[in-house]
Amino acid sequence: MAKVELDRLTVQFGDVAAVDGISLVLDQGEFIVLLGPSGCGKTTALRSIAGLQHASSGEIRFDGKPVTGLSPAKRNVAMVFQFVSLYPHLTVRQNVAFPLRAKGVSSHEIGKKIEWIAKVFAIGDILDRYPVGLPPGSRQKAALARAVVRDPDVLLLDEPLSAVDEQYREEMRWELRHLQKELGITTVHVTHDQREAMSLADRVVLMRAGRIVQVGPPAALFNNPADRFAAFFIGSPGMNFIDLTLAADGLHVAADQTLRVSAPNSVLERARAGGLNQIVLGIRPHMVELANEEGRDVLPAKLLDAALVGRDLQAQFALAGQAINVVLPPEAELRDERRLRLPPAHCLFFAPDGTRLGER
Amino acid sequence: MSIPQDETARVKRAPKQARTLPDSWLCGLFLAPSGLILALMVFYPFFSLIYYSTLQFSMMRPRIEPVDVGLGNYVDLLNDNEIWQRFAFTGKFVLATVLIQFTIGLAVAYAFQRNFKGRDFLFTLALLPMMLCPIVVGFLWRYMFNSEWGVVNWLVSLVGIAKIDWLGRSENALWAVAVADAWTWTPFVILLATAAFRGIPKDIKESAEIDGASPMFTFFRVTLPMSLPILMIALLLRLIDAFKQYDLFLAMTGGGPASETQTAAFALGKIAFGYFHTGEASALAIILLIVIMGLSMIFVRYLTRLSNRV
Repeated sequence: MAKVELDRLTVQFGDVAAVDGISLVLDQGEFIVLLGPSGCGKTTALRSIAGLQHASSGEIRFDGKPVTGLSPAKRNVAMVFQFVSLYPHLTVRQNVAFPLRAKGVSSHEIGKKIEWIAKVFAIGDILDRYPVGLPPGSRQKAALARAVVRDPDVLLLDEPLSAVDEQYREEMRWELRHLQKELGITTVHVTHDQREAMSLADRVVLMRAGRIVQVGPPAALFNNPADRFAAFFIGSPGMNFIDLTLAADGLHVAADQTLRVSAPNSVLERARAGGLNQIVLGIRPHMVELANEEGRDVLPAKLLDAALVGRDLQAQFALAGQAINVVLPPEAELRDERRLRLPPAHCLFFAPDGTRLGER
Repeated sequence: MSIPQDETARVKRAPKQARTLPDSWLCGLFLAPSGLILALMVFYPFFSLIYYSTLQFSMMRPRIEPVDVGLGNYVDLLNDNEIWQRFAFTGKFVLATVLIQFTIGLAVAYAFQRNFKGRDFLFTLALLPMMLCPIVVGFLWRYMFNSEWGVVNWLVSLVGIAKIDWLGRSENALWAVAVADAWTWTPFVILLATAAFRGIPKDIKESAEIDGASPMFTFFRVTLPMSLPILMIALLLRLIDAFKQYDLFLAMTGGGPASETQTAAFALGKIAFGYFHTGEASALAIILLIVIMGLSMIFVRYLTRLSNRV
């Protein structure tokens, strides 16, 4: 269990910086999730922490000691890979024993450790089976057991749940979180699945194009995104964005100037100060309300489609020619023509370049 | 998982077109040419071989009526001390050459895993000996091992050792021919081992690295066992080829001194085309075949077990 520090870590592939000077401090025992679209550098950052990827510049420290130049074996890290995570020619027992044998631990000691880890991960019944016949969930559990069995300082997980079937993934997420807390190992988990990130992490690190967009607890990222990308990437269904024009008399919908919306003064001031005449409104589908009367921030819309997804009624409306996703309670009354209210308290505003306007 | 009823109903056979042959006929038609060749070139000779092995006759004396001796040829051969010595020598030779091939082959393949400048060129160069005609290789090595003016003895003399009679003494000749054979066929082992090593997923190699395994530990506990299916095929092919090695002995020792460096295959050649004891030669050929098939079956069994796992 170690405190991990990344200090202006950069990984360069030719002219492209896959990881572009990121700095991050992971507390002891913390569960950190690196989240982002493919190619954002999250896996490269993980591999740098593992020592599988050379850092072009910057430093990585475990408990204050620099490990940047050390080989993976000397860092005492453990890693679980996405697909091929177990040695196929060894039984689960031999797999779990592998890192211990590599270090020359005595057979007696190995036996005791395996007994312990088999109990923790509930894999006692598959110890003598070969990986090939096991379901992906059991395989990843065994891989986790192998990673954890030798008390690593840092546990690195490279999308370990993506090979697991949807039904079991949910359960494995809980299990993973529970085990991580119980064992208290500092953990870095990479995923592109924002739901996985939100349910696992103590803190989520959202990345894009090699840089960190936002770091914080899941709720902070959801409620208070740093910019339009963060707002777009987190939440499902995704946030709606509506282009607005800023005139002397306030905000109009860009596609239909007769429609008006309001915004806090701080937003308008910042937009005017920045010389902007275009801004973007963002609102989560859950926050859009149906309205019966005309009024402030109420806009007319046409129903395009609707479907009951579990306990949610997911509907799509056309608002000034643009598709808007809305999540409503199942009893909501849908008609072809409906008015939608965009409560100002739940609206976020962004400059055209994606930066957030107004206080965070 | 069972296919739902309506799914199977939807998968309908394509409507039969007019004027086509039934499937079974078409199949037969396609197979006929190769089937015919196989029958003529393999099955017919094979069954004649079994038949000849029960006769006492020589193909050089077709007028002399063959005598049916039943299993007599086999009994004679298996009671012949000389034949057992040929098999013993063959066994020693096979072990020697395969040992050299795999020791050097695996080491070189291991080195080729790393990226270094000129690797591809060196790799191609290493494969060259395989492309030479075996009898030419035999003559080349015969001259190199010449005790008077061969390059090997010259090299030996540089370290101050007296000239060695490489090909005139059977225990030396065994190793000399094994070296020549290994020189030709180690590239084959390099080729297959390289393919096998490269086939191991990157994640597995990185896992081992993170698990703290040393390069040696990784090689013997991960790389080698995971390459076994391919390496076993290489080993089987090399064993069979070494077992029937003929050209090199013909060129390098002529089977001598006396008949001490004759392999079983060499002895077979001599009986068949030197003495023209066709019946006896046929029986020996069958015995060789049984040995090789037995060897192959052991390998195939083992391979099936391996591939069920990986």
